[in-house]
Amino acid sequence: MKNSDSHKLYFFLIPLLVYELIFGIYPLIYNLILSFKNVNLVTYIAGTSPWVGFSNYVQILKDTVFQKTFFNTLIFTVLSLSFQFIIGVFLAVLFNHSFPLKGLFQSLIMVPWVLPIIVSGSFFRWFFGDRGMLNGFLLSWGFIDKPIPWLTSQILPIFSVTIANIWLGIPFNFVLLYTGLRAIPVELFESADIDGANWWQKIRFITLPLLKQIIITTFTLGCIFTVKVFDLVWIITKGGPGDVSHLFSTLSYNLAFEKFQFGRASSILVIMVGLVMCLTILLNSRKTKEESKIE
Amino acid sequence: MSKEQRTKKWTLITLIPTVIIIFPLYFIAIGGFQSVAEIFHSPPYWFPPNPSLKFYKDALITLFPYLKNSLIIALGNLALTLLVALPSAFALAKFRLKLGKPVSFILSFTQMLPVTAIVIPLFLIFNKIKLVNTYSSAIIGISVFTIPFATIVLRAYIQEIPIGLIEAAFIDGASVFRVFQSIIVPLSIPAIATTGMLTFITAWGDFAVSLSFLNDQAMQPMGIGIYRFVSQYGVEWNKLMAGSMIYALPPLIIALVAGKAIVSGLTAGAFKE
Amino acid sequence: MKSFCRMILVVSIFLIAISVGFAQKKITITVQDYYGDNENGQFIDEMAAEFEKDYPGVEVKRINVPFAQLLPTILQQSLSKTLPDIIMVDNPEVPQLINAGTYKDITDKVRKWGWENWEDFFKGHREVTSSEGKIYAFQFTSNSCALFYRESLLKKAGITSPPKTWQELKEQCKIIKKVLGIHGFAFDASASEGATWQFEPFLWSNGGSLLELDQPEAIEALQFLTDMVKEGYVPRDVVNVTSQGDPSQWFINGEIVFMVNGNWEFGWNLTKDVREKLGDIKVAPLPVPEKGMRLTVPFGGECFGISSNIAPEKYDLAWEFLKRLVSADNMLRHNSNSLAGLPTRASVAEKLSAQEPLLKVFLEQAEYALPRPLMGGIDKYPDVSSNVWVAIQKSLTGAVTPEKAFKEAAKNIRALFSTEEEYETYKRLARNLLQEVRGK
Repeated sequence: MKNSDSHKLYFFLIPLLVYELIFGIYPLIYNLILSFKNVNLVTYIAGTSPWVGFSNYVQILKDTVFQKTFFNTLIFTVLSLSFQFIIGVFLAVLFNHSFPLKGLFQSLIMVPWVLPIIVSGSFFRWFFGDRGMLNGFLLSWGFIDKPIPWLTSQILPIFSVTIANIWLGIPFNFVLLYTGLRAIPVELFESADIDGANWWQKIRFITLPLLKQIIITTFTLGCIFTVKVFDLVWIITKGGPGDVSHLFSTLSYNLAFEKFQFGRASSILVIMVGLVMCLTILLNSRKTKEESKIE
Repeated sequence: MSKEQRTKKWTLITLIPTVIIIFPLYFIAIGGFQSVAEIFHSPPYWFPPNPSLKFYKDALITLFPYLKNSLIIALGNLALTLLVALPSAFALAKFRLKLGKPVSFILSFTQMLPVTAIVIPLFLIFNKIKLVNTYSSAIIGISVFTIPFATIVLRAYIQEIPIGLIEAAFIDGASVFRVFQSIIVPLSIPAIATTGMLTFITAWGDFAVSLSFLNDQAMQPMGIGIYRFVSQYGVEWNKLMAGSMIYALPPLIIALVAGKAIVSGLTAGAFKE
Repeated sequence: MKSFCRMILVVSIFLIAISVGFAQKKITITVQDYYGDNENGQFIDEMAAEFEKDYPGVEVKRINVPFAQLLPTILQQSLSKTLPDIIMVDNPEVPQLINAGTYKDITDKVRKWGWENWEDFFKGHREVTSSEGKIYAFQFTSNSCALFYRESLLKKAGITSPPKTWQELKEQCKIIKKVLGIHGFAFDASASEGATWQFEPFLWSNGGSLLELDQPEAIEALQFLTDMVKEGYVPRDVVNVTSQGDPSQWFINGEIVFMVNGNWEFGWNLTKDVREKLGDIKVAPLPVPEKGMRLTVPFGGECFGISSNIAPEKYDLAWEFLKRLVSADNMLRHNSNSLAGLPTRASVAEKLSAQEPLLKVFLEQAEYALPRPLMGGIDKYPDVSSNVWVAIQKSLTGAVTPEKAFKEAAKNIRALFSTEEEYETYKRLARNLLQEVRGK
């Protein structure tokens, strides 16, 4: 590559970098600063919030609701990512054939992402209610004789919300994996067939290696997006009942906009971002060995 | 089994998960034909007992003014996003740059905060540079999320393009832009279609950024419009459901179109070395 | 390269083009609320049209914000000094915003208007919209809650009149469960102010206080509601309703007999045609703990004031508009056409008495309805309230006993006050207000 061209590449990247530093990083710094201050509505507006060092963090880490929220977020994220991925792969493989009505079905799979969350969230809230559809179905078929408290017990709500989130994330996973799958040239599979490979060998030696980058990206983005899910949980349970189904995002919102404890709300966000940053670095640290790039 | 039977078999097999995934849609669709009390009826009605078109009509009348705003904002965002993300993804995917690693990580980091945490600081900056209450402000505001996302996704796909093709072009004396235009873009059509679709759906579904930046109701998109049915005392569920069906239609159409592009892009021979 | 640059150019021009607004030659007074197109919203539109006619060259523009987004929006506007000229907030949040300097001090304007106008507002409303002798806002509309019931279902179960005490409510629900097989009673117990609001009549009528939740009077109130859920008289889904409007649907469908709700329902879910169709919707005062006790309810409703960063040249105009919104004549006009709101001025309330039998209960309660913020730490009320609803949810779902739930809530609430003295001051304030109403 001509040396004079390398600076043209920076022409591509510098605007992006500057853009992200101003609009992307500034909110992070803003919340970071806020997390070290004692902020209530009055001092926030007046700009007179005092610095209190790490005391917001100390208080929040001692809070039992926060501790429960940590486990909730963990369960929520791990289960969501796993099932979304498995279902996404399953669907991608199914759609990797041509059949009548394929285009229609493909766009229908996008429905969970496309419906406004106020409506789909409310649907799930009703669906999982004590007097909701799921219980109605289970009761009328005799599987249970008392409604299951999907959203009104202490343990189940987080799982019910997770199921709703899995549903929500299917289109995202499906589309990314399917597009990646489509990019694998048919000839590779055909020559593998000629060589007598079975379906497992095809997956192991063709599909997975070629999809590796996309799988890692899907997981990374999935992780980032899942941890910060807010609307869905807020609409279904608002983190309740009695604070049992909070995620970091909902607890932070509750502290900020219902209790007006902005400093503490920001400290939760900083912790959350910190954890996800570590995960992201971990997920993406191994890939660089096999990359081929131009100097 | 004949070829026709074989392909139809896939239709039936795929029908099952598709129906499971869209079954909430059925209840939301029929909800728009019922009164709110009927929607709440226990056990739920599988067919509207007294179907009425009134609520779909009301929803359409209420939401129609917001349609043009949604289109301007979503399409503007789509153009801006792809314009910035595609070249950046190319640079990050195929070149070993000093800034490459930090830029990649920064792109990820900027997406880690929930929208509710970003809206106030973002508004403060935008307000300082007097970029509020305009369509551009909403477009640029939403692009703060969509650009990094699109860049990361496109980079993943571009990375799969064989490096040999590009190196050969450089040896032949092509410039970076030429390679970008003639090799990367055509080969990335499915990826662009996918990313474009996801970007459009994200921008179409925006609520928080538009609400924060656009005071004037005349400029607000449908994402805010459907909240006209949500009030302090309760929700007009039937109109909300009807409105949601209307609201969901454009993105579904885009998904249909994008789907064709995803399939069409890689015909045999593209990767022949 | 060329075509690429051309694309950038096109997009940039597009962006710039659509960012240019057109110049406004009029003076614009902005009014922000979450009313949308409901009756209150329509009234404001009417007032705006009349105002524009009387003041040519002035435009009154309404900014509509979704209900749940109002406070975050006001916060954002406060931080960036972009508050609209006239701001509306639900009354429990007014003291906080007064403290934060969001509202302009309009005492002088009120003095010029005439103190009798100010004193015409009910005491509770005045307490909420003023601080340390200075006036910041007016309460525009009011409402309260009562016991709605389906008379035909009551008759079917063999009950002749609605319950007056807690025990009667419990017994009637027992009968309803046996005879009709449905839940008897429902209320809002969602993780929101609606839950605290509907709990307050039970709490206060029993002599309990939001700032003393660890006392027996408060625990008994929560115990009562918890027992009702445990016995199956109240569906557990109450902890997950969207708002107070969901139980109304169950009510309309005949799936519950009693519900706690407010008079706004007459303009919302229980409109005239619904009432006519069902034919048996009645309202009674909420039951009290024991015979002879005084029912004590909170009042709801929104307040309007002028923003503290209003441009000086617009101040007089904004004041004129604000005055019109709450003038006695206009208030009478507004409330004569609807059952959904109650007047906030005593002179207007007198004229409206008993126009509609369904409103009777609410009008009678209005004069003694208590201001929630003053009962719960004034500007700390939203935080206090969130502790209450969490405790209610924990107790109703059986996670902990009512006693434990309220003891924990009481502890958290005490921690909101920086000194013991501050806490005692607010505690005494709430007690005094309660005693004034209950006469004990």
